[in-house]
Amino acid sequence: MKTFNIIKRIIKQIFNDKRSLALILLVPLFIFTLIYFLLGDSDYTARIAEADMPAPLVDELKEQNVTVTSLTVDEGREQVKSGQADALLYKEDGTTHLLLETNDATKAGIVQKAVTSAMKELSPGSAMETEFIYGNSDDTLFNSLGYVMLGIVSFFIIFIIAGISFVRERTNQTMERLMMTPVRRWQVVLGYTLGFGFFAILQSIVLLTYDICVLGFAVAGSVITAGLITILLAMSAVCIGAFFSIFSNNEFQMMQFIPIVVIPQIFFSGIISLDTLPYHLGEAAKIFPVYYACDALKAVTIRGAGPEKILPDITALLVFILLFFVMNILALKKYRRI
Amino acid sequence: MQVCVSHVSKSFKKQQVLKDISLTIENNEIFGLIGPSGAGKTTLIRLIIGAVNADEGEIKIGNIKIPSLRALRDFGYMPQNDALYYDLSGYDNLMFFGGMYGIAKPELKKRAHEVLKLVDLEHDGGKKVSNYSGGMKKRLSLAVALLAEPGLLILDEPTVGIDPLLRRRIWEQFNRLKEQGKTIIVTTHVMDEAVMCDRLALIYNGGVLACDGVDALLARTPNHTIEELFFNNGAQA
Repeated sequence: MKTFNIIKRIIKQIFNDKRSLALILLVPLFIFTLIYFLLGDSDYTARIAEADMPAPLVDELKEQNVTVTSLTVDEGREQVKSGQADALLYKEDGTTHLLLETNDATKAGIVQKAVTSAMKELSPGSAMETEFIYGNSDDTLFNSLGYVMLGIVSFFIIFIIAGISFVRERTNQTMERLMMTPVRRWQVVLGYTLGFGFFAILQSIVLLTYDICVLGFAVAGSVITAGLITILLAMSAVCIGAFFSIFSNNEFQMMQFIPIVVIPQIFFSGIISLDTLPYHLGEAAKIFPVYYACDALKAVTIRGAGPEKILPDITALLVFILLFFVMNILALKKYRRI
Repeated sequence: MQVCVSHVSKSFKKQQVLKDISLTIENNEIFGLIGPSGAGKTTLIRLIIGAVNADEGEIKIGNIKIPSLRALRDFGYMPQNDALYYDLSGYDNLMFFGGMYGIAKPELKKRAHEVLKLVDLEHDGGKKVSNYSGGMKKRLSLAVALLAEPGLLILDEPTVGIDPLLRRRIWEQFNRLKEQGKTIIVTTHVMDEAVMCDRLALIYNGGVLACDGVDALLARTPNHTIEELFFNNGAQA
């Protein structure tokens, strides 16, 4: 009941503060519109070669903004190498393979979007292997960029809003006053996490709806699973933001944590391939929640993975949330020993 | 409600803020803690409410040893800052803090209107606190402390930045609360405010210079002013 009271207060506070509300709900839409124009639908018509693919799929592909030529696998491979075609679609051992020359983000993005939407029409959830002639990354960097950004933007905004509102509670002593009411420490932390969690849910719904319905992003897997991942990530942002606010005496000191907490997460979110980093530096990504969220988002949105495939990522996110949740409860001892 | 402070000491990072303080605040009195800023008044208040732990000594509110979750129901606390949510209306602030005391909603609504009236804000309850003047914030902060009808009120500099007219009205309020049987602990560094208390403790340099009834204390000085108490006692100490 007291937890609910705190949740209600946070929701009221943010709705009364139109700027924060706009930061949560409108700014991501603005950023995604920008990304859309920077990386998205250019007028380029991709050339896709196909080898022995089922006729319905070829027809479906032709519906997309691409030219399709039918060749053998070897011919197709040659064409992709020489740059006559942007990609080759073929079947091997019952799996669909997509061969690309290199990971040129824009071209590959267009190809992948066309193939994903075509396949989704026919057999949703079917798997596809992506290969490169140059560069052996088995990761799909390009089209996933939008979803990586989904994770980063959501984390960043919620981290800032939750962190700063916690700092404000401390500087204007409302935290001390709150702790002098007969409330338990876990109720305060839970109220905070769920109160901002409400905005995390709202943000995920608005952002995903906008991305899919207005910008036309293709999601291979379940949209609901993708939404759940962003919500979990945002919840971890609340807990981490609240935690770092403990070490900030004012709003500006909270901003000083951005280069330490947020920017490294952008690098390790999957924008840059982690396998190629020296000294196993890529392993460092595993201490950041954004890494797990982006990994899961990519799996769901691009490879069409089901919930069972992303279970390890989900577990990692839950561990982060729980860890910082408990640390926040302990940190409140600063205000009251019991 | 009686408050018992016995042999309490507190240091922050090797700097001793309070040295062996013993005080007893009796039931149903207005008890003033006076002293210059930095003397340790706020630290003493925060020890009494249990926001910080004493290094040595013991504090009791009624029969309950501090810190205790149960004692939190027994007192209302007004911090030096306004400690209000500026993005909420005055009424919503009251509803929030009242909810934290677990007051049922119909009862809480009634109480919120009562305390708003008490501090003369009944027409401003719907306004956002960010639009309040300094005095209005102070009064709302007092209303929050009164909300749960505690037997003990602990007020840290409740009248700082308030004009003399309003200050007098707030003190009339304190006297009325005392008549209702409440105990009030109040800190101040305004000397003419101190004389309105029943008993005073003079806090200086982390210690208690003197603690007695106002009249008894004034009788000790040649010109019967509070300032002289510090000079006289300070010289002895």
